[in-house]
Amino acid sequence: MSTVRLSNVSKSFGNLRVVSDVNLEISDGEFLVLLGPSGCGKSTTLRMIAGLEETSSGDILIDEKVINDDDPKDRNIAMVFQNYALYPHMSVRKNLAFGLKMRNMKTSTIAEKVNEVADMLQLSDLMERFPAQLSGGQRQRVAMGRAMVRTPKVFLFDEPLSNLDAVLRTELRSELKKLHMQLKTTSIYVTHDQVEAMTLADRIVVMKNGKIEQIGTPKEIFHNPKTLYVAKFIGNPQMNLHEMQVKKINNSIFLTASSLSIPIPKAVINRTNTSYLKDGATISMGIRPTDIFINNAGNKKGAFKAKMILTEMLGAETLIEFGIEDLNFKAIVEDDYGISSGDLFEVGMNFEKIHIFEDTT
Amino acid sequence: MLKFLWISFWGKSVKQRRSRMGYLFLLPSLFFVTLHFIIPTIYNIVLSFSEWHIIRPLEFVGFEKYIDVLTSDEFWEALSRTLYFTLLSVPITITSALIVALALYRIGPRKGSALVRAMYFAPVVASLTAVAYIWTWMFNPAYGLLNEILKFFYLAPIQWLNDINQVIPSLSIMYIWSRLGFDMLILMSGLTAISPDYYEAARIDGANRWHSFWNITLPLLNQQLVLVCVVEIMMALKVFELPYAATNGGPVNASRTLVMHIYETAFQWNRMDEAAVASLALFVIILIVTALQHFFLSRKIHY
Amino acid sequence: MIISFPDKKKRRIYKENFLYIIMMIFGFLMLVPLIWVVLTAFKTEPEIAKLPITWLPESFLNFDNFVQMFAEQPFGRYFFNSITVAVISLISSTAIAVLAGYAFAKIEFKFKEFFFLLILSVFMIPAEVMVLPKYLMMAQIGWVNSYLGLAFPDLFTAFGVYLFRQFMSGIPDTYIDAARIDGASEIKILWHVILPLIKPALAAFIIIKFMFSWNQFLWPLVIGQKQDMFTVTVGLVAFSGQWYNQWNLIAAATVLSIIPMLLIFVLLQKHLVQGLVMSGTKG
Repeated sequence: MSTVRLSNVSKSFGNLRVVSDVNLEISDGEFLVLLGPSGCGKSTTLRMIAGLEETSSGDILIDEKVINDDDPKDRNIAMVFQNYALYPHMSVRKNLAFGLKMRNMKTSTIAEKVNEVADMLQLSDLMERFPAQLSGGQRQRVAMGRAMVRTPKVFLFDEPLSNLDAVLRTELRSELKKLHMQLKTTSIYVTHDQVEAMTLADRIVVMKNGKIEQIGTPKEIFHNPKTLYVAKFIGNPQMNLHEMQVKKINNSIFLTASSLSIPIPKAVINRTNTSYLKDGATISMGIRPTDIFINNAGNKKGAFKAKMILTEMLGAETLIEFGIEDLNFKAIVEDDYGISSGDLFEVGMNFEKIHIFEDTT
Repeated sequence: MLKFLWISFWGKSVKQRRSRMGYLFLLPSLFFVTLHFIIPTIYNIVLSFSEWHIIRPLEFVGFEKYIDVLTSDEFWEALSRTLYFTLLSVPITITSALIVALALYRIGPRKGSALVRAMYFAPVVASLTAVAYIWTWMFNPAYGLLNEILKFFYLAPIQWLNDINQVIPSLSIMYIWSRLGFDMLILMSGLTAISPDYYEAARIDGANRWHSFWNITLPLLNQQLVLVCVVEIMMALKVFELPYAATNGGPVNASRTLVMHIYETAFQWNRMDEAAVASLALFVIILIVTALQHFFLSRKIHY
Repeated sequence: MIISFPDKKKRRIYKENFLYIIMMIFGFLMLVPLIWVVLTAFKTEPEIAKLPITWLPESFLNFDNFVQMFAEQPFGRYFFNSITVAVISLISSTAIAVLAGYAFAKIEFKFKEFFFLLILSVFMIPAEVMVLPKYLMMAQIGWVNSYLGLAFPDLFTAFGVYLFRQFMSGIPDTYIDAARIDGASEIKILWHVILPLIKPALAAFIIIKFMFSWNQFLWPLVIGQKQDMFTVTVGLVAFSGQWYNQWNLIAAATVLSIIPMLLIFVLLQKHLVQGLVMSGTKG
């Protein structure tokens, strides 16, 4: 079992800096997800850990040993690729055995290990098939098996599920989770899919332009995004975000835009960096669609007059889009109470769940 | 550069080790490039400025051998014969190959079409020496098939390879026969790569077949056409087997080509120095052809 | 308009059928010289001198010409020489070209473009231009009249480097990444992962290379000066010079010299054609 540490790792291709000063510690058995849009440097980071790319500066350590100059084969890692990269000219059995064969393992040991992994992943019936004869999900399993068979110190996943259709992706996602719970191997997983990140990760690293935006558990990332970027990236539908002015009246802080005024509870201020909450400053206010509700209880306090723009039935819930003054919001509600577009109604907000960001859109 | 190679060779990082493997994998090729081309080229140039003796070392004589060669009738005659042969053979080979390719493309894949294509292509596999004998027998004035056919049509027999004026055209016939299939193949591969959409679009625009050929087929076939031109020009310029085996340069040197001249000068008359000058002349001609190819290919149109 | 449409189509089909027949006839005419030489190879001396010409030999079982051929000159030895030279140059040029092709396609190193251009430019220079200095080099190291000397210019083919580079560039990098992580060294990647994936190119290259090597003439003429070092092409010329005007014998020797290539042509036409197209489309 192993730990991985990245210390001031940077990578440039010519003048293009794709990863800059990444510091990261992955503890033993942890499932860490690198999350971000394409081009944010997450794959490059992973490939540097794998040894497929060289670091431009900084150190990568596995078990506190610097491995910058080790070949991939000497790092004792395994990797699952987006397109699986199964050798097309080898049967499933040979694909699984290849890594062991390259390490000059005894044939009998290889067979034993390969069969063991095949059993675990229900591949036993497919052993003599070639990758072209397998379905996407089966290929994915073989790719997993190829990584597992060597019992490496660290698993690296490079968007392994993104080539699959939605149903299969969900299925394999939970399978992956179960496997990790069973094997407890340190894993680093790259994806642009926030749902994958949320469901799989012990901790998520959100990356942007080669830099780490935020590291935290899925809960932390969701409930307490540190930057506007993270707030926008996590959550579907996206967090409602609006530019507002800070107003200090007595000891209370309000956020205002035109005639709309929102009181900020102490709890929010406590978890926000107050240095930018200066009177008159422009900030971004965010609230998740799930933290807004239709106020039909007649409770006037903290309620806003809203005009319905659109309602979309999602099944168990309804997505509503409405305007307060000239600000548009989206909310997920359990019931739209028959309000249709153009109707006026009242909404309430869970003020405790408001987020404040220094930068503006 | 040396410093860089040094670092690349002794560096310790993954990337440096990998690029070291790159150089290592390249080494045999570079070794042979040196052995096959760089050293011989230098050697040839040195030789062309020297007097060559079988036992004694080379003796520097400046441009003496150049003057000898460039003032000799033999060289110029061999060169002009070779150019004549090239000018005669290459356009006909390529035009007929283009016609065959267009026809076979028009017919499209159908039962037996692969066999028909193979018929045109079969002569390509025969060595030029074999081609020379096959055709010498065809051309035989007394018992040859060609004169027999002429006789059938009540035409006068032709002396073919035995006539000073007909020997080069006769060699051209051999050459065209043996090279047609290759050019056809290359042109076919170009034709099949042209998307039918272009033709459809042209038809909708009201273009007839002839327009389509000039405005779509030929421009899009440009790359393959330039390519077969270059290959054929080179093959024709260095023609050796055909005259050597069929006529031995005769009658009265009427088919002595440039490479044959080089061969005889070097290996029969033992005048290596003069042969080196003639080789350089061929080299320069080929460089010009290559340069022209680059010129034409760089004008390649992108669609 | 609507009625004339099927008519037009029918006319097109007629035209195409007509063209097909024409092309068949001309295609057959292309084969006549080959057929003629094969027929001649089975004829006796009086038969070839008969006028008017007879097409078919009296007996297709008349192997006298071939028997005499082998009795007069060591054609078995010539075949052995040609095959030996072809095998030596095949092994060497394939191995060298595969290594360089892999380096160019999949390994990053400085001056890659320069080296590639160097090899590409070499590709354009016909071997004939270099025969003289190469011969003198061979003479100096004493490789005249040796198999290595005969194979020397063929030990390396720039075309192969180019071909394999093109093919290997098409192989996704992730296979190589996966193999690196699986613990394979560069040589093992090449052997276990790349080579099986470029089999079509390998087959095409080997056949084309064999054909070029087999059909070579000028170099073996220059370097194989003793009769026991003649290749088939040189032997054919020597034999024909000896039996001038004995066309039944020359025809037999000619036919025999083409047979290996004809066999390859018939059996492996697909690879041969593919190889020639690849050798042509180098631009």
